[in-house]
Amino acid sequence: MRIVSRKTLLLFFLPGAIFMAMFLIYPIFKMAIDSFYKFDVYTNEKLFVGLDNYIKAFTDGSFLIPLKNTFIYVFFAVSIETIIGMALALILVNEFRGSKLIRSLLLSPLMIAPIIAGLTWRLMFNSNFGIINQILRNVGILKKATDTITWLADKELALVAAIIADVWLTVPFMMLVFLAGLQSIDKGILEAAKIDGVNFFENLFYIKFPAIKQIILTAISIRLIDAARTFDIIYVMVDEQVTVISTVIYKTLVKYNRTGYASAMALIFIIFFVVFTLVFLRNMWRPSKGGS
Amino acid sequence: MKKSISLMMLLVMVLSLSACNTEQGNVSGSGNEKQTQEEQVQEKVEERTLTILVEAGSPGEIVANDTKSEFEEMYPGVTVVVDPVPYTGIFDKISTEIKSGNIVHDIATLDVLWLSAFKSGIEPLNDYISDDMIADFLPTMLDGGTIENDILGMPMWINSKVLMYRTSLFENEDNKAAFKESFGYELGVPTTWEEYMDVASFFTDKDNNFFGTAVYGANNGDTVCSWLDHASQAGAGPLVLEGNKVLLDDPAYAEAIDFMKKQFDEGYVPADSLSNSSGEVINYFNNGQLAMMLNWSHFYPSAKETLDGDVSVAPMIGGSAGVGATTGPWYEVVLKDSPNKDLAIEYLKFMYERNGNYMEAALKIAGRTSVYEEYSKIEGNEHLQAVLDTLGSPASGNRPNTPYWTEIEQVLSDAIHFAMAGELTAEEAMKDAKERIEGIIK
Repeated sequence: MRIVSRKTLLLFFLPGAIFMAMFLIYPIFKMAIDSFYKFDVYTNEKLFVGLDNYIKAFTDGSFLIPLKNTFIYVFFAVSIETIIGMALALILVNEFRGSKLIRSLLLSPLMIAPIIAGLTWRLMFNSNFGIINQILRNVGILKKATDTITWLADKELALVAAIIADVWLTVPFMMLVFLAGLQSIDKGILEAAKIDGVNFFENLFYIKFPAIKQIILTAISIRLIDAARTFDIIYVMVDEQVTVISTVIYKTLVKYNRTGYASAMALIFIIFFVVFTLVFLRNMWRPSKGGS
Repeated sequence: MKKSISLMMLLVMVLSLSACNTEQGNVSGSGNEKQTQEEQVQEKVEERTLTILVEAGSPGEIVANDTKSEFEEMYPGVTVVVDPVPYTGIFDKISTEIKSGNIVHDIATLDVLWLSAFKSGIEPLNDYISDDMIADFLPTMLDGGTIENDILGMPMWINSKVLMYRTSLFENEDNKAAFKESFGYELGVPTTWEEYMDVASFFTDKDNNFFGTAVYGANNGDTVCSWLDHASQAGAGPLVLEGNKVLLDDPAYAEAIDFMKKQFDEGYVPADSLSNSSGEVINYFNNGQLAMMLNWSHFYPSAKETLDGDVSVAPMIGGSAGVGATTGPWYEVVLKDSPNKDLAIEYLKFMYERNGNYMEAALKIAGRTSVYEEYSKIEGNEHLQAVLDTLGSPASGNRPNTPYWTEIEQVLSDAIHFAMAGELTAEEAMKDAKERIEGIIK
């Protein structure tokens, strides 16, 4: 016998469903419709243009270049964050004097809003008075006081600068998740492996990584989605040189008043992520495959 | 029993939702039943709120706050709310309000660049602005604020770039002699492109991190504006567009890029010029690293103070078409769907009468000729005469009134930046930009 009836459950579900329908389903539906129209910039009257906005998106640099930048940004940022995050977690999982203090300090970037981090890094990368160039001078990479690297004036360097800022901001998250995973491994297994004489790499690749595989994949999937929709850092730090999908959609809609084209780009972006998430999650969480 | 619980829950939910929606109505409806309709209207008139969107930290914000109580005293019951947001936030907010039809602000302070994009949502002021008022508008102010014969904005201030230089360097006898020996004529404040290059070359001392001048190379609107200054000096006009015709095949545009690029290639400007715009340039100047610069006139008072008075100002330089500059006027506009339109128009008139207050605020600039002339007589305001001379030149003008300007500006900004970086020639950059702009406005 059920404690709560199906109808009562539905009533509990209803407010959430209404909210989702109003603020998620309806906007996406409206966006999908808008993507087939062109809007007059003066009167906002709409003209049906069929698939023109989609054809433009897949043939025009205004979408393809930001798409390429987004892939580069996501690939390098998440890869570097994963490697550094794991390295730090492996160090900090061993308790040593001051490890708790170091762990707390390493977490401090997590407390900073991305927009503030972006503005701070923009100043740090300033070619005239930024600390990055000064450090490069101090270590002798830049020879003269007048030598400078114009980080934010070059498309490639600006993307590198944005990736560095993102890595700084997000490594603590990866470290924290990996650390929690490593601390959850049964100590008995690790001690048994030690008695059996496994070396550091065997311990890592045959015991620790398989044991926290699901955690690693979860952290990476969260970061992949998060990095792909990054807006703040790119917009405040390198928008003059680098556009990614989120910034180009924003500018096309708000600054250029091209509602139809922005809707088409946004819908492509959403579909891509829904498919990605479904595939990724399906492969990750299959209880029949086992795992921790 | 279960059914009753379900019904009760549903009832509570519906009531709470309806309470949210009708909260306002209940207060006036149940609490003031005896109040007549007339009293309610009177109350509504007296308790109006006038909301003004201004750029945070700008003279617009300062003057709006300074005059707020005076306006409220003139119109009892009216509350003036000044809403300061960053520069780009103004565009975003007004764009969203007009598109959604949900008007939050009655008045907005707008850069001339945005007027055409918001034309459909702005109330024309033709019926409220007299000929006497128009006669006192500074040059290019009426033109910039008028679209399809509709005057959309009340002038707040106008600005242009002028030449600022280190007085002591130009008056130094050793410099004068050395310059004459090198170039064959007297060292003076440059008025032409050629003189400007000679002087920039003369004062540049790269080993000591000191440069003759600075150039704008950052990939943003400031660089576009600077390039248009030089294009107008080289004879371009109207700027960029004439109707739907893109004018970038006029050689003046490529000449302007070459003029900027030469300064960069020859090293007369800081090495990081490709990331510099007005903010960075004034930093260099105030740090004592530049002999001269072309920058917005409002930087003059602060530069003079920072450099212990060792700064003078002159009109913008000239090219083959004479002195020319792209102007940067700001306007106060009334949103067409504002519920307080009549009051908002009164506010605009009120502010026009107090246009001199902008001179007293941070930037020391205004929108009326009489105000400029009055304040230019005061010591420390030498930049005002330089602006008047620059604006008075026939080659000076506004950027085109087009709702596509923000997008076009990005295309131009890319083109100038890449040409200066040497990735394209000036002609290639202009050809590419022309095609892209044609794609935008078609």
